[in-house]
Amino acid sequence: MKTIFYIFSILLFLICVVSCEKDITVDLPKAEEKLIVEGTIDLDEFAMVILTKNSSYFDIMTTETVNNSIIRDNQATVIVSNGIIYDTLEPTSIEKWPHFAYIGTKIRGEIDKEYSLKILYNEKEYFATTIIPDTVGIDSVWFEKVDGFDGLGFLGMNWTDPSQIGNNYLVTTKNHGEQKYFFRPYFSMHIMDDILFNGQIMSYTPIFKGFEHNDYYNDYYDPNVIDTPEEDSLYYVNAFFFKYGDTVSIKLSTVDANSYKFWSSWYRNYMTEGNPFTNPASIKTNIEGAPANGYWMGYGSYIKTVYIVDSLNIEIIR
Amino acid sequence: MKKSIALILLILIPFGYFAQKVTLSGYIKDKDTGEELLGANVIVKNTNTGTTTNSYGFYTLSLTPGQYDIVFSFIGYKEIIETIDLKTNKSINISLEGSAIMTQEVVVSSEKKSNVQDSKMSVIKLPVETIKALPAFMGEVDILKTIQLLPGVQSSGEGNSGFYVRGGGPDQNLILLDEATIYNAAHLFGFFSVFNADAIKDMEIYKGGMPAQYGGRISSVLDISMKNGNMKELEIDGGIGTISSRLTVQGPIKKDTCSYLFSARRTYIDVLVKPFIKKTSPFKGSGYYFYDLNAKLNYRFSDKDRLYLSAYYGKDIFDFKSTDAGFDMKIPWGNGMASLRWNHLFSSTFFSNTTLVASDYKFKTDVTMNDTEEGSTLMRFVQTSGIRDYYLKQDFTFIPNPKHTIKFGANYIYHIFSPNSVSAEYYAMQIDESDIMKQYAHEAAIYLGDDFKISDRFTIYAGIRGAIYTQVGPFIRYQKDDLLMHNIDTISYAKNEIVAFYNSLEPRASIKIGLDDNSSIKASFNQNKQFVHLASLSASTLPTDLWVPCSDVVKPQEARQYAIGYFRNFFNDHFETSLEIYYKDLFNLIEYADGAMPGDEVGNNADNYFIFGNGYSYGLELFIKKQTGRLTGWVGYTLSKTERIFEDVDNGEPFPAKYDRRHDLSFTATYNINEKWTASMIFVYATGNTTTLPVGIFMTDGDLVSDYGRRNSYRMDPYHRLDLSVNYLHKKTDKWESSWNFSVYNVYNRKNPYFIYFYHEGSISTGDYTAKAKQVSLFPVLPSITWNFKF
Repeated sequence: MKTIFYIFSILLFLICVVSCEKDITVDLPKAEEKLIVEGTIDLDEFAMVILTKNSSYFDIMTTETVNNSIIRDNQATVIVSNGIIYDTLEPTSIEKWPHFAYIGTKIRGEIDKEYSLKILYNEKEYFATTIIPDTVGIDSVWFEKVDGFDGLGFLGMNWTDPSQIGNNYLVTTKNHGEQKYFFRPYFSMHIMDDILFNGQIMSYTPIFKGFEHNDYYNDYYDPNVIDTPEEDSLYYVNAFFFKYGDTVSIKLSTVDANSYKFWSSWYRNYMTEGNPFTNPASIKTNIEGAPANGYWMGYGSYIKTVYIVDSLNIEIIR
Repeated sequence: MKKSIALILLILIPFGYFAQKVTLSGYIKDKDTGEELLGANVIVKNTNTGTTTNSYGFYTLSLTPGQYDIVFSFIGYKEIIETIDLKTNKSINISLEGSAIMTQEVVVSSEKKSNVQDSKMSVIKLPVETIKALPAFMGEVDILKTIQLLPGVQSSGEGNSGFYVRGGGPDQNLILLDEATIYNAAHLFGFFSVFNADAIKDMEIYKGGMPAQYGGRISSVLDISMKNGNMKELEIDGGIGTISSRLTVQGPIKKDTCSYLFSARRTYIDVLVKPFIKKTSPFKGSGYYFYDLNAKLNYRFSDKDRLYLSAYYGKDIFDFKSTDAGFDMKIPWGNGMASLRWNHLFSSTFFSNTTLVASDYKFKTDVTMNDTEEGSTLMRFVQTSGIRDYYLKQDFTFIPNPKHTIKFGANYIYHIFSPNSVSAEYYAMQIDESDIMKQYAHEAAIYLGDDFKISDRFTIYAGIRGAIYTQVGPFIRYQKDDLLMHNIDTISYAKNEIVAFYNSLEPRASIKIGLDDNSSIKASFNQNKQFVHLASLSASTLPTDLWVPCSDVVKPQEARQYAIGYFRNFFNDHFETSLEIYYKDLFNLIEYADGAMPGDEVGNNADNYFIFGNGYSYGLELFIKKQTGRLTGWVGYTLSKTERIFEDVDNGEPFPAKYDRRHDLSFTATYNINEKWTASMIFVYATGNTTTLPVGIFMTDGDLVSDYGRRNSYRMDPYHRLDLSVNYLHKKTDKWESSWNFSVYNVYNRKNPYFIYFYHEGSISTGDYTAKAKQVSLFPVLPSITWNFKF
């Protein structure tokens, strides 16, 4: 529904047929250094925390500056606690951007438990707390074929929202054999609250394939890299759709209100960037103590894994 | 407070001894058209005794019996001096004859001195003829654009007819057209105002020191009067311009008793473009236009009773179709109003006006997505917002003796607000909230004010206004948790159940101390409250801006203003100057929360997305005006600072308002070269608008996002522009008048900033990934030509 506003903004541009543009130099103050935290603790899993730093808006970015923004090894100390035990996370290599994370070894996530995070970096201390809310089960999963493409399509799922208002959901997917982690799907906000479907059965469709977002390394936005139209369409088809023969896990995670707040403001920021007709959207973080952004989020996850036989048959593996 | 009420009452009680008085009263009119002249002067020659006509062209003057030379005058008219032997109450109607070019050295010093001698301050009056003489954007004479050239009144740039008075928001201006409130005064997303200059007689703006008869807005009053219609003969005026044409027909139905006026204007870009759009074009049927209709009927029963019926209807229609994509979007919006007024004279010193108004503003977005193959509707989204007001007002003016002018009255408004009604169909899902989102409110006020002339040198105005406001059911309040994320409760109010109640007591005062014949010092204080807010998402005044009423969540906005000024006329009153300093406190202002977007209101109340705060503004205004001679015009300069304090923005630290302007300079001049040629110019300079820009960038989950700096911490380039125009009176006879206007807008093609946006370039792998800023400007140098006629 919000698209209406974008359409409106674009049309406003069109109306201004006489308008003209010019490049200008904007003299902005250097951005204050902020620690960017991406921390999660999933049900039955160890905590994983990725740390990076921000850059100034008009800085030229190179591979080197990007690498320098990643905090690794013993540069930071990351401690997670459930109130009884303290778990100092281990610096570890991971197989997704930024290829480095701090991962726990002692505490696995449990439902309804509160977890605190403490980070020591550059003589500053950062704090956050989160909880893992009760899980909500996936009732059913189905596959919908897309006309015009052979064996390609998207998934859908149902779940029953508890009668109490205030549930927040996060949807991610993982393609087995191709991906090691759960990723956000294409084309949709993967966060939602239950305002519009409280206590009802929620039918969530379409679910496109989750993928590793990477603004730094993906080249499909880069006009300098020339692909043939065939290559392009093949890329998109493979990137967006599930296909016959895929084994897919769908993860429905319940999250707390702060996590919802982070992701919904994050989407607002992402969608309104550069739009002069909206109020600037700041991303609302739950990281405190020193200048920071990002999140510390508990996931009450329920996972369903399916094997897509064809458009009518889908095998539930787990 | 009790003390101040006692003081006001004391002032209001006429005291002292007055000799037996007789009154001279009547109407002052234009000789050719029979149109009443507002603010015309009636002066007893060689004294400081005098008055001006009210908004119905009526004057009354109390004098001790005797013989007087009375001067009747008005700017742009030849004055008349009548010797009157005044023994008993007398009624004299005067018709003044227009003088096309004011080259004669007319000695109307008393008139010109009103700047110095009137107790009012921060008031500027402009006859429509002055406005018409200035260069106009695309040849469209625009009242709102012209008032933005006055000191203390700021524009927010191009593409915007919203104006800001002394640090107040565009919603804080009471815009009255024949006593009816106009909520959205803009056409074409703010490029033009809704007031068709051909139908307008004159306008007056109060930037401060508002008398008690005005209320409901906290920053200013713009009082616009429509022409009544020619009482003598049929008159047709018209113009053919670059983007629009207009026609006004007026004349008597019964000579000197009843007249009418009908005025229409329409843009025709769509009509001109239509032949060039192929029938097969996917965009066939798309277009944009607006039109205005003004109509007025007035009937004079006698010198004691008159009836006026005024109506305005204007609409913008924007239609965008893409048949290939099955996409159809219609955005119509517009105002409509009708006012019925009855003037009655109980006596020459007791005057009554009864007003009945219905006013309506509506904005609608209707988007349909069709399945192009099956022809069925995939999605339909209708969003409407608007206000409807029913208004009843009773005003009295009582002039017990020449020292006192007492005004009192009462009004009542019934508001129906639709802050945002949404109905949508999406496949099989339907949402219809068009009824439950409406908000109903009653507003009522009473007032009393007295302009008390203590002596030739001292005049005091004291007034008080009391208002109440109540929102009533049916209404549903969605209560949110602390994070404004989740409904924790909904409260339903039954019909007529009270949702919120507010009241307001508003003292108003001003004082004038005359220093000598040519100079005076004035000071004023006013306190105002207003029960509606305009929530605006962008720096520009868009029709998407929402009018929201006070509710259990939204409190009335409030202003307190203090002003002091020095007024002086120079060179035998050819130059009128003033220097004013003001300080204004603002309370309970609203803003959208960070990143709020239209459409958020689904399953919610619009006002749940607001944040609340205060503000202040102070400044200095300099005004130099030359009203007579071949060269006329003015220079206005404002030095000011306007800040806002919102707890939820930058941790409660003050931040500049988006239209905070350090410097604002306007210069206008009109020169009568000869009987046929008139040249005019406008030059404006203003400090750039503020905006919020990203300062940092960071990555989360593989996507780059922006980190914004402090609110409005970046200032865009200054705005400046020069416009020129010449007017050529081609032919003028008694029966036929034809003239050409050539205007050039933005003569030196200044690229003034409209907004700034960003884009990214390069890639990380090649090491040149960077953000770039682009500034969008609206209007380059734009010439236009208009042909005007009259017969």
